[in-house]
Amino acid sequence: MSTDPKSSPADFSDPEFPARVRARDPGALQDVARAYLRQVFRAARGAGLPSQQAEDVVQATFTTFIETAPRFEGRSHVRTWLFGILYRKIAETRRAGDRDRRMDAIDEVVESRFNAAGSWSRPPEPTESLLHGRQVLEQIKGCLESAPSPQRMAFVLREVEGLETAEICEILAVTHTNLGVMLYRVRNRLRECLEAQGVRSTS
Amino acid sequence: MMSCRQVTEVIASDRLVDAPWRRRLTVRLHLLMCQHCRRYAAQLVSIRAATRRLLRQDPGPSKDLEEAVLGLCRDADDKPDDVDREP
Repeated sequence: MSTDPKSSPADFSDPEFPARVRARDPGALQDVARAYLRQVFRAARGAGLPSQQAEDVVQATFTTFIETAPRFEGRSHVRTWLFGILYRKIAETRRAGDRDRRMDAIDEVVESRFNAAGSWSRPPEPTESLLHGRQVLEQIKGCLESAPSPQRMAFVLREVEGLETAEICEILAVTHTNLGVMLYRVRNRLRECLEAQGVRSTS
Repeated sequence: MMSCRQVTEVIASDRLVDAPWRRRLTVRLHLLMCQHCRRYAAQLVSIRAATRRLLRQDPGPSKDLEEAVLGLCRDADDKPDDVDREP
């Protein structure tokens, strides 16, 4: 798991831990904050929030975490609980139109790359040089911005935080199938976006 | 036989891990034979690495936020219970 080793000396698997959270034991809550503040903030940034807004949402996340602590039963990991609150906070700040849709423009783009038999009709272009170049980080940032927020969140939790798919399903409250579709769409979106920029910069 | 479309779908939706060994083998064999799908898979790996670099470069939470959050935790005992509200 990708917790920073230096910032998480607390033992969240201690059987006493959920009871301490429920009792709002300041020591237990501070252990959680020290262990996960950085990760929660990074997920908020990855989901597309500008720094200031990310700070506000993260503070609101911990406020809700403390408010609802008496209901923490310890069935999920405290990190799952915390990321779940963060995800709902981010969803609140977005307009309904930004929600994940059943239809997504990327599906047609992907469809157009294959023939009726399912073989590539337009195979992937080489992007290797592009992906190792220095501008690639700026380009990924730009490409990520075109993805709906739930897809970005799924992508960041999976690729950057390295969480298991089961935990991400719990955080986002989606089925495995839904998560698969979200990851499929966001990865194709990024790949298509980077490929388009690569082709442009070499032609 | 799996088509390129099916192979890329299994890879990009992270469904390979839970797939039965027969399917995993089919995907591996397909990748050995198909340079296009191999390139596709390699690009997804590069995108993951680049995204990690991007977010790890981010300055992270400010000192103010850290202190504010730790302060909230420190004063948590004084808070009234609010067990009925959805998080």
